[in-house]
Amino acid sequence: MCLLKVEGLCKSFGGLMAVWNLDIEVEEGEIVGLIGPNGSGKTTTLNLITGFLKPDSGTVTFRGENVTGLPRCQACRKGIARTFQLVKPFLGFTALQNVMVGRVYGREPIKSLKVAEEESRELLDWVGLLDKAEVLAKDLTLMERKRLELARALASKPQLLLLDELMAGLNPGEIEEAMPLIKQIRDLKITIVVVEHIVKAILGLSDRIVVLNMGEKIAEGPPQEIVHHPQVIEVYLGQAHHA
Amino acid sequence: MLKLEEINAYYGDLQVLWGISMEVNEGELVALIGPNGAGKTTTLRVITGLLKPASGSIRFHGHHLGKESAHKIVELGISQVPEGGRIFTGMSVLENLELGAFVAEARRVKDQSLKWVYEIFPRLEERKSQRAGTLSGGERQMLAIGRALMSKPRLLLLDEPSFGLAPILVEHIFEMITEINRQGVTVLLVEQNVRAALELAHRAYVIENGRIVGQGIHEDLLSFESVRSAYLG
Repeated sequence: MCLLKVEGLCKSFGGLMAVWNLDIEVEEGEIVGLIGPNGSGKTTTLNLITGFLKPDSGTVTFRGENVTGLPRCQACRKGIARTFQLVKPFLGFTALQNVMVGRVYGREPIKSLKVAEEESRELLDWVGLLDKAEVLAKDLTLMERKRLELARALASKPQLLLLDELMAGLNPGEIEEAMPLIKQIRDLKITIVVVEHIVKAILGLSDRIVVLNMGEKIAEGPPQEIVHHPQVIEVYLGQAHHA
Repeated sequence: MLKLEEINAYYGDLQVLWGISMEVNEGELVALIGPNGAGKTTTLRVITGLLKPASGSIRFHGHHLGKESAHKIVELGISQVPEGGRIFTGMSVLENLELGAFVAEARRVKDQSLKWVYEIFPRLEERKSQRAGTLSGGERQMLAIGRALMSKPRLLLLDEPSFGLAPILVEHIFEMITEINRQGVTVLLVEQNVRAALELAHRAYVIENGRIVGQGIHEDLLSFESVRSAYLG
C-alpha cells in the first residue's frame, strides 16, 4: 500500500526555488533514502511533509488522506514523526520529559501519565540513554541529543518516521552499530525516509533511493543502480565513490 | 607551538578530561580521534578557553592560556570551527564571514581572505547576501569553516569538518585542509572519518574516556581496538 504520496510539490524562498515539482511515493514498510548535494532541498522536503512548511503548490497524501500543510502537531497525531538534522530537544526538560512529550502528544492516547513515563523509560533504555533520564537535555552531548530525538520521535508511535542525518558525526564503527537499530525500527512496522550523507549507511539501509539536485528529482531507483548513475556521481558522490 | 600538560576538566561535578597531555608543533597537521563522548570536543573547548580546566597548563607559543579569555585566545591566533556549524543565523552570510575577520590582524587582509574562502566554497559567494538562518545544514557547516579561516589563524581547530557534507564535498574539504596546512596553518583535526583523518594527518592522538591512550602515526594506532573498529567499521 502506498503510505505517503507527494505530488507536484513546490516551495520557494524568495527567489530561490528550494523544491520544484517533486513527486515521491513511499510504500508501507519501505526504507527510502533521500540524498543530494548540500542545499538541494532534502530538509525542505521533510519540512513540507511534516507541516513545518506549507508548500506553494502540490499535495501530500498520507494513508489516502490529504495532509498538505496540516499543522505539524496534527501531522504528528496522524502518525508522521521526525528527527532534526540540527537537533532540537527541549533544552530545559530532562531526557525523560522530552520523550514523554512525544508520547503524550503523539498518535495514541495515553492510559495515564505513569504508564506514559514507563513507556518513555523503555524507549530511553532502547536508545541507550536510560542512565541519563534525569539529565537536562542541555547537558547532553550532541550524540546523546540525537539519540534522545530518536526516542522522542518513536514515542509518538509513528507509522512514518523521517530521519534527517541521524548518523552525521558517527565514526564508521558507530555507524555499523546504528544501522541495525534503524532496521529494528522497520521491524516495528514503521516506514522510514532517511536523509543521510554517509554513503555506506544509505546504501546499506535503503530499499530505494531518491536523488535531489537543486530542488528537483534527478534519479530514483535501487541503491546499486543509483551509485552508477552518471549524474549522481557528478553532482553528489564524486569519483572516489564510483565503485 | 601548543602544549597541553596534565589537563583535568569537569562539567559540574563530572570529570571529563583526565590528565590530558599533548602537543602540536608548528606546521603540523595533527588528528585527535576516538569514540563519541571520549572528550575530543571538550579538549578543543579547553584550548580555546570556552571551558576552564580545573588543573594543568596550556601553552601556545609560550603564552599561558589557562586564564585567558576566549576572545584573547583568538587574537593570539587560535580559531575553532565548532561542531555542527554554529553560526549567527540572523546575520547575512557575508556578515558572518566578516565577523570572522574581527581581530585587527585579520581585518587588514579581509578582502584577500574572503576571496580565498569563496574559492574554497563557491556556494557561500552565491549566497553571500542571504540570511545565514536560511542556509541548509551543509551550507552552515561551510560557513562555519569559512568564518574560522577569515580570522587568519596560526592554529586552526577543526571539529568534525565533514559533518553533514555531501560525499563530493567531503573529498573536497579534506583536500582543502591539506592545502590550508601546506600554506602554513597548523591544524588540529577532530574527525569521525578516521580513515580520511589518518591519511591526512602527520600524527594522531587517540582519546578514550577522557584520557589519551595512544599516539603515533597511522599504522602504530591500529593496535587500539577503538581505532580499529572506527577505522575498519
